[in-house]
Amino acid sequence: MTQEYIIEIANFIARYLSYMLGAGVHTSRVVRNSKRIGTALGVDVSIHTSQKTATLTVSDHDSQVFSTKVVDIPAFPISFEWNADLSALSWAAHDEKLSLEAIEHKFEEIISKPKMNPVFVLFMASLANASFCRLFGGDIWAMLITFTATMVGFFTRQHLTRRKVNHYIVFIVSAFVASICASTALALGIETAEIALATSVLYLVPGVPLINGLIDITDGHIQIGISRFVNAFMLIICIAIGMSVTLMLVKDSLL
Amino acid sequence: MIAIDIISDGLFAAVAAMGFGSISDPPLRAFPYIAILAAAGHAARYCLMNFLGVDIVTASLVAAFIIGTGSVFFGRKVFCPMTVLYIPALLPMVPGTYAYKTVFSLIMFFQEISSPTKGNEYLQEMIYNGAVSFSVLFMLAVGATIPVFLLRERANSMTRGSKFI
Amino acid sequence: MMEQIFWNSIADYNADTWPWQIAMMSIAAVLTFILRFRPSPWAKTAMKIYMVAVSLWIAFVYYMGYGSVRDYSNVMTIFWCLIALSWLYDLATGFSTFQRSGKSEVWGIIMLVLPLAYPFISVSRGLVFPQITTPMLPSSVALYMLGMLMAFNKKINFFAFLLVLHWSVIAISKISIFNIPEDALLAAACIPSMVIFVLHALKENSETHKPSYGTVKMLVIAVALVLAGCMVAA
Repeated sequence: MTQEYIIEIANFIARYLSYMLGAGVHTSRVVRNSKRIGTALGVDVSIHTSQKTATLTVSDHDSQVFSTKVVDIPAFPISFEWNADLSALSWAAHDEKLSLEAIEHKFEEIISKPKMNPVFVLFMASLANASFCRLFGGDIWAMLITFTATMVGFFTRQHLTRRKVNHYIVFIVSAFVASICASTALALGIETAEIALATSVLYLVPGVPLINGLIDITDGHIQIGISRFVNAFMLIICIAIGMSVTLMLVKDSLL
Repeated sequence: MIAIDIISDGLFAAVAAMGFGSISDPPLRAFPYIAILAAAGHAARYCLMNFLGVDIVTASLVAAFIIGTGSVFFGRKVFCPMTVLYIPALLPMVPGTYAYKTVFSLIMFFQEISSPTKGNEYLQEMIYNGAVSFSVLFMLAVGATIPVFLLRERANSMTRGSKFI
Repeated sequence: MMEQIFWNSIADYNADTWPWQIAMMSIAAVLTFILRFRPSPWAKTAMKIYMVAVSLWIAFVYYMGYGSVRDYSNVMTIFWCLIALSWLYDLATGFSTFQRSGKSEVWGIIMLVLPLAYPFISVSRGLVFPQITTPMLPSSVALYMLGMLMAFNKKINFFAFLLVLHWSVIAISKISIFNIPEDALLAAACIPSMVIFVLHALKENSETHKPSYGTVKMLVIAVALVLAGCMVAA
């Protein structure tokens, strides 16, 4: 194998793994898939990952040629569809012995697939939070209030994210907006107002990064697991700050 | 009456899982299975906690194990890795209220820092909430990963031969 | 007890501020007619300023002044400030245009007229001035805003819409709690407007996004029907 070909492979695999890590796939799967693509193309791949960057070395065992690259991990929104389809791509490369061009072509196809409609997500997240309110024991009024409060809060989040505001500020502001909307239930004097208030911010809880971080830890990628967990925990602190502003304004006490 | 409670619990958990899952852009083909897994897992946890008196941590472990095992079988059908199915299904069980109450107790502790009795109470509450939220989360992750450890070969080749790329 | 306090505060509010209320209403009427028949940029700005002013009026005069005898009235003040903020934000960024799109305009006009029906319904229920509902109460103002959004729906202020929607949900629960059946008007208006606006926003994105418009349409309508069913039952 020539040096150029090895560099080409390294460039592609670097891109592949940075997209997967950026879209919130747990580390052991990313490493496994990247190695599988390497094997399919006849090279060895070794990877070191951390929170913001990843390093990989692609080497050919016969000719002693190798290439090393450090890539930045872009911050994509979490995408399970990429997770599923990029994993399938690695198996397709392995089983069908695809050429590098063919793999690259399919990769481009997968990453340009349509995303979820943001309005649909808004609607579904509000429904989800309303049913969450029910799981915590809320009645129909609490559910309705949580539904629309979540709509307001989630739309704020989407709007601010689109404007590229810092995500900690986004979380504080949307937690505040959602909880202030839900706190209007208190004025109605219904018994389940507290439940509506408590569940109104739960749509913000970063469940996927939290679980991902712990999966990484159980898989033995402890460093990146802890950094993902801490990252998610920072967001929870932001939620608590936003909500405590509301509670201080409304009830003068947090617990 | 009990049956209605269990069914409605599962139903609302399914809606919650699909809704919170849709934020993370899952493939459309995965939605029905996410709903089934979430309903089964959450209803199981509800039964364990309310009828058998199991604590929330153990109940979460069992529910997560059910969800993880289910995702091994469903994942093969829709060519999705297990995580794509079980993470959204676990989302309704993520202890969000405990997590932010941990931070609240910390803030209240600062506010009452000069009063020895109240400060102590809030510190105790913080440890309680923090311990519950971390243990539940940890058990969710572990419970769902056990099937991966048991069925290594099958679990790691879910997307092999996918028709969807 | 709560119901008594509620109606007494409305009576005080009407007795003291009725000339102001009529002034605000006539400004609203004039601006609406200008926007409808002689649209111009200054009218658009004036309408947004009016929206900010009327939200602040409700927040401070109604809730902070006359409503302060009720529990948690400060929450309502903050909430109406949030509505004022959404219009202020719209004013600053120039997002919504108050242009007609020609679609579902009939709905909008009906909703614009409905706030005027509030006092008549009250009178026909046997209430006497000043203890009646007027077009300058929070719910009727919310209904007016909804009507404006619906009648000039080429590009709408989605924040204001969502906040008004939230307000209508609160108003629905008020129907039974405070015995104020006039709010059924707002309740009846909010569900079709939710369906129309959400579907419109969905359609804008549906070309480049999954899932398909048809499926989601069914879902939105189904949820709206369930909501309507809940309201009728309650």
